[in-house]
Amino acid sequence: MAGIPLILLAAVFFPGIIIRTKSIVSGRKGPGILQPMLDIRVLFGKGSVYSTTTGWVFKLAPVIGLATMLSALTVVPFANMPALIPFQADFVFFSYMLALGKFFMIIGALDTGSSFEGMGANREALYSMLVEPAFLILLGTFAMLTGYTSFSDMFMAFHVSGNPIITVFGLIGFYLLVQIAMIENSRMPIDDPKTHLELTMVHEVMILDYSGFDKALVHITTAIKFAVYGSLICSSLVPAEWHPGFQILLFFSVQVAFAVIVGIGESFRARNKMQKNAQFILTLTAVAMLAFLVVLIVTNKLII
Amino acid sequence: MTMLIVRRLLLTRWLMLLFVLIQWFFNGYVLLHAGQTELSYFTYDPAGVLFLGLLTLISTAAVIQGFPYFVSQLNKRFSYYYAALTGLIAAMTGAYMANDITLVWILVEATTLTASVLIYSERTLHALEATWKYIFICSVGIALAYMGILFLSLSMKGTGLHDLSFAGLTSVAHRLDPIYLKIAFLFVLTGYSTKMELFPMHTVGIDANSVALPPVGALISTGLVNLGFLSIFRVYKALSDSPIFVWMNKVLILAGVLSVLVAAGYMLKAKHTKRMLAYSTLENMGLVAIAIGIGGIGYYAAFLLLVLHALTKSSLFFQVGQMGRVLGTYKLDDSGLYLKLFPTGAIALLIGMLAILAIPPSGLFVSEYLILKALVAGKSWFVLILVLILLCCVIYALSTRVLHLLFSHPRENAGIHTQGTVGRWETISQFIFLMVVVGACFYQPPFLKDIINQIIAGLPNY
Amino acid sequence: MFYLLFVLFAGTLVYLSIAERFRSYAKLIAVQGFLLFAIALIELKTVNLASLIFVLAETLIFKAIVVPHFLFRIINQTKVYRVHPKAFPAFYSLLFTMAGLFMSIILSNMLKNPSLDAVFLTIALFTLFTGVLLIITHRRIFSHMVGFLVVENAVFFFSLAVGSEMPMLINIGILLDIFVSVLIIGVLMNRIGTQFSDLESDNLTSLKH
Repeated sequence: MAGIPLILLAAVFFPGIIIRTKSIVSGRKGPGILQPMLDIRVLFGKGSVYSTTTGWVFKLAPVIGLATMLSALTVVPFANMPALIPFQADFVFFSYMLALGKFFMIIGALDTGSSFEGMGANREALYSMLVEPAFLILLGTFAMLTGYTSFSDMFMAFHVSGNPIITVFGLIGFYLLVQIAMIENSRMPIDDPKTHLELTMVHEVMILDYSGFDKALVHITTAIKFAVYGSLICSSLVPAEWHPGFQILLFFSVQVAFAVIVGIGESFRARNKMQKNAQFILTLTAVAMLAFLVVLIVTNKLII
Repeated sequence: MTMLIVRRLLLTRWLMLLFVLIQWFFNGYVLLHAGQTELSYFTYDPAGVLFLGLLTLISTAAVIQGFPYFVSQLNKRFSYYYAALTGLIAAMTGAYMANDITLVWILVEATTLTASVLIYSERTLHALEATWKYIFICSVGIALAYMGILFLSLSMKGTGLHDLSFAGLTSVAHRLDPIYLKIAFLFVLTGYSTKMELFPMHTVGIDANSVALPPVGALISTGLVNLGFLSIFRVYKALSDSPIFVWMNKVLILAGVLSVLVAAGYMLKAKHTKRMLAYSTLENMGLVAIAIGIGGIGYYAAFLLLVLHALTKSSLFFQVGQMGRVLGTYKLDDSGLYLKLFPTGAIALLIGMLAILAIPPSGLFVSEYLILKALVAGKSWFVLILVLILLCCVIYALSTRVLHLLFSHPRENAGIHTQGTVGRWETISQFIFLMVVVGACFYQPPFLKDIINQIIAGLPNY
Repeated sequence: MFYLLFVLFAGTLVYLSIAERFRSYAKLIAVQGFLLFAIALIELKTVNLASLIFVLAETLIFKAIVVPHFLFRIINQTKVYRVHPKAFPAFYSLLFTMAGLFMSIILSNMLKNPSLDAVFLTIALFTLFTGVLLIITHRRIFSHMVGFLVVENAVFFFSLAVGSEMPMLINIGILLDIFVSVLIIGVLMNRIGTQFSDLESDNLTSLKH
């Protein structure tokens, strides 16, 4: 339970660190780290403008997005303390809460009646669908390895060092989680958040019509999503028995490192060709299956 | 090996005749020592003896019939051709006699390599395409057959046997794990179906036959096909004691029916004479597979069909070769009026057509009749009706094409073409073979019956 | 730790299904050759020394060095660098490959055999499946060639699994390698490359009816 304020705190800084990193790498000084938060505060003060073609779904979508995000937070553990409401197979709950939020964003974008946003919604739906097996296979492999099905129990039982094969699996899992986080948040190389060219946008085009309060909600959801994935990565890397103070320190450093990696990755990568995106995401599922194969071998389940 | 060095055509021809003579001597030696094992890897068992006799006969004719194709001394290709020919015949002889699965496999691999050299002897674009396909798909098939052999050896791992002889396999077959045997048999069947021209990998034989010189086509369609059949049959016989016997029969019947289906379908569209003959081989091999699968009198019918088909098909190929030399083309659209151009050959072609279509008085009629009888005895009505319908299609396709070839004008041009002449005496071997086939309809010599009975002695259902 | 080599091998196969440049194919075949050499080195301890050295030398020299060298030469000579522009989309071929991995895991669980390590069987079946998939779905002859090499690797894998009791089997498998690889790659690809300007199997369809 102590994890939730920490995650929210990390979410405050996360987008700022990414933008700052990208600016420094490009040779500029860049805006302050809290600048995105200041932008959100400005947006809270503004009023919303709604198009006449939209209905109640459009207004509801950002609220549901944030609400599902916060509900998903309730199952994420921290260190050796269980989550707020842990239960069996709660990682499926987590994944589908996120999917519910995304579903509402998609139909909110369709509600605008603009074919442009429909195109973005189409792509977003495809990429989420393709990345879901990767995520579930990865977490299923964790579950198979540790014998538990709840996030809290899994991370408490998972030790990344010790068996060299488990280390390899931990590395593969780390890479996968980073990539999945980048895909779920529509960053490079799937989608460039900076491009506002027609025909190349994926996520940005879905939220094109939001203004004011709704836009602020969308930005907050994105920031929290980043922080949650960072927390998952931290939990999978850091063993749960270490001292809590140490844990908090490591937590923040992992989040900062994650943000810097995202920033650097974005600066140096080009976006994929649009047709190649599907194949790229499917490759993640293939890598997840290979990790599954590794764990099968290690747990001697292959040789009965 | 000597063939490669020798560059003079006449010397090569004499060397080939010498090789044929050696082959006859070896055949006689094998007949005298039937049943013995030599060099611990070769056994002169009855099946090998039978097929070796056929091979000797056909290779003699093939070598002699092949002489007119390389008449010019300047053509250097003949050394490769004759070297590969001797290699092919030697490899087939060895493979008939081998009693170890892996040795058979190595020699079948050798036949692939030598046969592809022979197919490429014309050096045209078509030949290149056919050679590439032949080598590639045969190699994939051989690799699959090797997987099958590995599965067999894997299943034999617990029994303490350390070699893969057929005798050893027969003795332990009933103890082995059925799943591994099933997988092994499937792989072996698929792999060797490239050689036997059976479904599923029959396409290579078709392409190879349509491009190769007719004597080579004769050897491929008879010797290699018999070799493929023998490899599969030996594994089948070794595993006949095991629990998968019924399943193996079903698979063979399925493969056979599909082969006949494919052959009938493609033959209705065939436009090239040699290709048409290759489809006829496919159809006959399908019938053989069905016969083996049915059992009972079908075993005898299968071997009878194999022997007579070898004789008929080779004589047909030789005749088509002569037709090619007379008309200058193998395409059906451009050919016609053969009866006027070369009557002796046309008569041989006509008798050959009747023979291969199993129209009495052909010996193949007896074997196909026995197969249908076995199908009725086994109560496989669906297979029976399907096979009868498909055979009707095949008869229609082949007879219209051959009759058009003999009697009517070519479709494209109205005139008569003569590109070369063929002496009448060159058709002697064909008539001899065809007379044997026709005679077999009425009287099957007892030594043939004995040998076949020896081959199928150990099989259940008999 | 030894099993990591197997997983790396499976990784090369996954990469093979999505690669689009022929140089990547050649490099992957080389990597597979080295991995097979390492696996053979560790696995084959019960065979007599002479045939062990023969197997190792053949794997290292032939599969890892000579064959990729030939492949690179063919790429340079025929100047065909990529898969066909209208080739089978990589998305679907990756999907099929993953289905193949899944099926081979299930199949090897069904075919339990105490004398055979199940991991060998899984990876061998997966390799066979990927090789056949490469042959069936690709249009250029080079890809067919690479698919055949992958099938040979599968057979070699399997003979390693079976081979500790019957050493002759491995040597036979290697015979297959040497003869067919040298013949097909060395001789025929050059011929086809000079005759046809474009190594497409579409060109090899003149033999019909």
